Amino acid sequence: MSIQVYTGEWARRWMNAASVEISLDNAPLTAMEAACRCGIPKDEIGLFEIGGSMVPSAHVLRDGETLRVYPQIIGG
Amino acid sequence: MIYEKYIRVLIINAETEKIWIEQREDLLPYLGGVGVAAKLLEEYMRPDLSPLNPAQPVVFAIGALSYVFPVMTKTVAMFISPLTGELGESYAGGRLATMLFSAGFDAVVITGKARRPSFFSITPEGVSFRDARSMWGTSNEDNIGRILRELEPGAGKRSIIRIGPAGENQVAYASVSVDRYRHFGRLGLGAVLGSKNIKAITVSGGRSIPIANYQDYIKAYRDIYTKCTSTDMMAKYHDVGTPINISPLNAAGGLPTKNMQQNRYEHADKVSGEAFSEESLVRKMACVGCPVGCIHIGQFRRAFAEHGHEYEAVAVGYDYELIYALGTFLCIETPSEILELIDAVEQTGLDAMSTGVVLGWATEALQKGLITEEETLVPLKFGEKEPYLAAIKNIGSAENEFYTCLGKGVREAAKHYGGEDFSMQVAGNEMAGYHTGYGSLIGAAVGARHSHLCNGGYSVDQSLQEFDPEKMLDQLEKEEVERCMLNSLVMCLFARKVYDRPTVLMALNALGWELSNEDLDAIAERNYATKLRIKQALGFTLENVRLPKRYFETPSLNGMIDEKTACAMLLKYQERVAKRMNGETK
Repeated sequence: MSIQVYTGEWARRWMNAASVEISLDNAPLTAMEAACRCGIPKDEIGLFEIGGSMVPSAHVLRDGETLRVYPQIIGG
Repeated sequence: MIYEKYIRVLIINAETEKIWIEQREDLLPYLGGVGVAAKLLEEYMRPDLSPLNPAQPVVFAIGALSYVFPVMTKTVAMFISPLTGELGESYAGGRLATMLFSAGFDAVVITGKARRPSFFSITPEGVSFRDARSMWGTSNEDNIGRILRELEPGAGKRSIIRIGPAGENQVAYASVSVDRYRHFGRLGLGAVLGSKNIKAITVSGGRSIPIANYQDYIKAYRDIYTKCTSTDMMAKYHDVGTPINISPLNAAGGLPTKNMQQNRYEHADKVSGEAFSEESLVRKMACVGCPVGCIHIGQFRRAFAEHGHEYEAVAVGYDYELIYALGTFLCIETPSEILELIDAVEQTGLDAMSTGVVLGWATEALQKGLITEEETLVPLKFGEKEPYLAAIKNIGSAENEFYTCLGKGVREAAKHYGGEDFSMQVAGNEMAGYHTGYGSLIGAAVGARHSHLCNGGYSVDQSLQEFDPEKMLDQLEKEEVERCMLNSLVMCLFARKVYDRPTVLMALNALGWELSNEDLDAIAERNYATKLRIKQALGFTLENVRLPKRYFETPSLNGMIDEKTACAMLLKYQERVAKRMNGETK
C-alpha cells in the first residue's frame, strides 16, 4: 500500500524529486507525517490537497491517494 | 544611537530651510524606530488640519539595532495618511537606514512646505536645500535617479528617496521610491512629500563607531548571521520568495482574483512564483545589511521604437503582493505583462497594491455601467494590459475628474460613483493579497495602519484549527503589540522568527542596552499606546468601519466570512482599545 506525495519545486532543497512514493506499511499515516517523512521540515509545511480538495494536516491517508503539499504562506 | 543616552533628532523646516538637532533623552523609553517616530508624530501633528496641509510632519526613524546586526535594514516613516485620514506608517529597506546611521541621525522630522520644488541633501554636516524645479513634472523617473546621483556626493555611501508624478500631484496612494526596487509603498507618503514640494531626499555619511564589547557583539552577530544563512529559516525568502504564495493560496481558495469576484485564478499556474522564476527572474538583490537577498528582479522586453526591431530589457522588482494586485486581481495572464504593469506603477510613483485594487473596482464599475468610457478614457477590461497601462498614467497625472477621484482611493471613488460593495478596502486602505478568513479581514480592520503587516492575520488564518472569535482577537492583539517592539529595532519582519525574544535581548545587551523581557513588554505596550492615541486624536474608531459586502460573498480560504460575526469582532476589539486608553489594561 502506498501513496504519492507531490510538492513541486519549492521543496527541492529537501527532496531530490518533485514527487515521491511512500509506503503506508500497516500503520496509519497522516498528511503531515507523510510530508515530514519526505524530509521537509515541519515549519515549512503549509497546506495539503488531495484530489482537488484541501484536507487538514491530521487527515489519515489511504492507499493510492496523491497528496499535494504546499508551502507555508509567507510574508511580513 | 548606540552607546548614546539620547535619540538624535534632525528637525527640518522645509519652508524656512532652517534645521536644528535635538538630543532627546525622553525618547529612549520608546527604544527607536516606530516608537520614536510615533512619539514625534504625536508631538508635531496637527489633528485640526488635513493630512496634506504643509504644517503636518513627516517622521523618519531608524532603530536600536539598525545597521549593526543582520536584517536590521528598515526605516520607518510616519505621517498622517491622505488615503485613510489617520495614522500613516510605512517601512522601506534599501540603503536608507544605513545612511541615516552613517549621517548620525536616529530620526528626522520634516515640517512645512518648500517655497519651490526642492530636494534635500542630508549629511553629517547638516542639510542642503537644492532646487528641483527641473526634475518636477518629468516623466522618466530613472533619469531623475541618474541626475541625483550625478549632483550629490557620497557615491557608494548614499541613499536616495524620491517621488514620482503621482506624488507631485498628491495622489493619495503615491509612494516613495527608495534606492530603486524598494519603496515606502502604502498609505500615501509620496503625496505628503509632494504637498511639501519635496521631490527627493538624499542621505549620505561616513560615521564609524567602535564596538565597545566586541566579544559579546561578534558572538551575537555570528549567531544571528548563521540562523539567517545556514538554516532553513530565511531560505524561502531567497529561493522563490513571497511569490511562492500564489500556488497555495490558489489551491486553498484564498487568492483574491478579478476584483475578488473569485477566490481562485484559473491561470494561477502561469503567474505562480515558480513561473516567474522560470520565465522572468534575472537577479536577486539584498538591502544593505541583509544576507538573505529577497529582492527578486524580473525582466521583460519592451519595444522603444515604432519601426524596426528595437527593444530594451526592463528590469523590475516583483513580489507576491504585486503579482496579486496587478496580476490575479486584474486577471493578467503572463509574468511579462504583470512586470510591465509594475514598471508603469513604478514610473508613475504609485503604490502597486492600491493601484491594482482601484483598477479592479473601476473595471467592474465600468462593466456594471456605474461609469462609462467618458470617465475612464480607455476600455478597462479584466485581462487586458494596455488599458491598464494608460489608466495608471492617468491616475498619476489626475487626467480628468474621474481619475482625480480615483486618485483619492477606492473608498472615495466608490462613495462618489457607487459600487461600495465591491470596493475592496478596509478603513480606506486597499486590501492586501490574502482572503484567508476572519484573521486577514479583522486583522486589517483592527491593525493600527490597516495592513496585513500589523498583526499577520493571514498567518493566524493559516494555522486555524477551530474558529473562536475571542481567541482570534487575543492572537491579533498580542501579535500587534509585539510588532510594536520589533518595529522599534527596525527589522525586516521576514526575520521575525530569527529575532525571537532571547535573540533580541542578546543583540540589545551586546550593544549595552540593559534590557529584560519585561522591559521589552513595556516598550511594546508604550509604542502601541502612542499609536492608539494618535488614531483617537485623528478621530478614528472601529465603530465607523464599514466592510464591503464582497468580503462576505466570496468564499475565503477558511470558508464564508459572516458579516455579523465580523462586525461583532470589530466592536469587541474597539472595547479592548477603549480599555487600554482608559488604563484598564497594561
